[in-house]
Amino acid sequence: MLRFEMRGFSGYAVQYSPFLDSRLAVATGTNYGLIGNGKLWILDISPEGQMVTRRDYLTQDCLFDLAWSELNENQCLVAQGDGSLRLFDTTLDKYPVAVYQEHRDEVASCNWSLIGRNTFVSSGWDGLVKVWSVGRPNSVMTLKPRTRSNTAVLDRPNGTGTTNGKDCVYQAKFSPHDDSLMVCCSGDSTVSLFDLRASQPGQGPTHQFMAHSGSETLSVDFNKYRTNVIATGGVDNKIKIWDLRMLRTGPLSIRGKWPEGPRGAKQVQCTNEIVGGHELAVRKVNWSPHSSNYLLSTSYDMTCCIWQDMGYATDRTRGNNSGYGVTTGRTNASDLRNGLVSRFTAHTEFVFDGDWSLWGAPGFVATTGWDGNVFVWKGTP
Amino acid sequence: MPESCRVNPIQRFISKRDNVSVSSLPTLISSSHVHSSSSSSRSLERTFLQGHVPSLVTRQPLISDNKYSPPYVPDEASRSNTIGSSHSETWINQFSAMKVEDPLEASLEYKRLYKNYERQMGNGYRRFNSSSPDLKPQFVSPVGQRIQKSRLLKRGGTVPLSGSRASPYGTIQTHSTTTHTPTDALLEAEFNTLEQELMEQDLATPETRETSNPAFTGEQRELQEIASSIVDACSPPLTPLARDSPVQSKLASSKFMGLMKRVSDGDVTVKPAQRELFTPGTGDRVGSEYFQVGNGQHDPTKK
Repeated sequence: MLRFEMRGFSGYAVQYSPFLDSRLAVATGTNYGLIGNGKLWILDISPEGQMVTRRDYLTQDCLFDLAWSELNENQCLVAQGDGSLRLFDTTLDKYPVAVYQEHRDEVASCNWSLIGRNTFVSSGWDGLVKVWSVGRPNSVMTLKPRTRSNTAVLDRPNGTGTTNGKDCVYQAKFSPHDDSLMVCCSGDSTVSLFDLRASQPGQGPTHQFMAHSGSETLSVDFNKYRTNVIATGGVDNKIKIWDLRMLRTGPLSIRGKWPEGPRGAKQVQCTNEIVGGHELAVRKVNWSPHSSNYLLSTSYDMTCCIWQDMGYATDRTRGNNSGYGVTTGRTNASDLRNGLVSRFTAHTEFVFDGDWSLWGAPGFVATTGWDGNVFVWKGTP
Repeated sequence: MPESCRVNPIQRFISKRDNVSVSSLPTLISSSHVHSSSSSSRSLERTFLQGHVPSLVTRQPLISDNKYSPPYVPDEASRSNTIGSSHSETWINQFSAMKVEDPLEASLEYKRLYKNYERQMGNGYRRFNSSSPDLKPQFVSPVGQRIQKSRLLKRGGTVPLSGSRASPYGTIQTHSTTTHTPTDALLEAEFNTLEQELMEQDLATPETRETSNPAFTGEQRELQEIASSIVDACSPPLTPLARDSPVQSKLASSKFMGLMKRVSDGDVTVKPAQRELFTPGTGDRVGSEYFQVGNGQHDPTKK
């Protein structure tokens, strides 16, 4: 296990470089992100097995997420509390090479498309999802998961003109299989799937469903091998795994229109769920880049876990070595250990993010949290 | 105290059915203490109502006289069903003045603690507008969410304090707005009024008023309230099992929670102009110092 301490800063996001095997970037904020500066840390893992600072960038406001460029090995994008996205070049000092300023509130997440490599997406507390092209200062597309038609269903005016934080889009991510597909999750518990080819300004998502029983859905991630499978984590402490082909149509998942239906929203059914794995809300979920059924989760209970999706297994017995497998018909609830592969408990504050190493032996992960630590540890045997 | 927790059968009986027929009273006793057939219980009932109770009392040492008098008055219909109504009324009054001394009854200390527990749970429900009995885990999102919301303070944004309270269940309530029956509309209006009252009560909690520094600005007061709600949400649970969980020990030693306690006590607050936290009493900075950062930008073409 390696440890790096960022004194005075709380970790919000960590990501391995997709180009360099020993490089990490960490987005942080002072005073737990409450108020003050932010800092982007570029860390190198030395041959001696120590993490050292290669470069750092102090920012005017706290940083809440980051994404390495898939186009340029030296560029890293950060999501800042003042509503801007900043692209830093690690060969240059101090200032970013580009600033993208359109969000009205904090930018909660950013993600670089793995296929359309000059495209990235951002989401924020203003309830908007924006698609950007790296060479353009203005966004290419603005999407709103909560349209006028579904907002009336999802919440009720409270007389103050606010929507009680339900608007916040906590995370937006491109599909690693199709650069026209994007998924996001919101404070109103919904997961929204956008097909960028079909989306028009003001129009709702292609599919939308309530994922965590009305509690905020804090994180979502596409499985890197199974094209239609996503995982979500929420305030109900659960991790849920969904197959987008098997979303049972109900009042909350009807395309385009949110009808005045019967009382109570029918929820679509997930294919698997991990219940009781975390004692507090699940902050981030992240599928393994090496396996189709391993999942990393971080939580407010100050632990990180690696889970095996018991509902799916690679089928090597039938001569299929492609990494793809078959559904087993099981769920994690049917497993005595809940499919828990490993649990990491060294963090002493809320754990906000974790990322799988793309390099070397599979199974290494880096995690960061409000204790100001970055840990690199082996998650799978 | 809920019905199921009352151990005194007479209290339970009276509180549940205050128009019950008298004939069922002896049945209650006979079923618990006197094992007899239905016919014998009927004769016992007759005997009981005709005044031969001393034998019953002597046979049932658990029953004794007590000053406590439950507000039980049998109705006309039930009285007409009894034998010797005038005589039995006297008995009914005497009987209602009795109290069963249950050796298994919980101690006064336990009752007091349970009452406190109920009160706290009641507050929890009201505070978070939740119907879930397992509230603690849901507090986490408020922790994360409220922090994020409090960030809005520095730009003078509106902070919806009740946001996280309403959010988890607002959806379900909202769907009722999509139906248009008159009953639903009435209920909805009633619920709205009640909810508004509860929210107003909640926003003006006595502890906040007591500890709030009068010199605080609106933003600072809001931050204090947010911190208080976080501290309340993460306070140790009542059950020993949950109290011993690793999360609770970590929360107890969490620096973030320590800061939130200080903010909720009014010991620390935000200084928006300097974008720092400070102690109002001494003016000392708390946490990290803020550095002005230029809004410069490299020209990528000159790289």
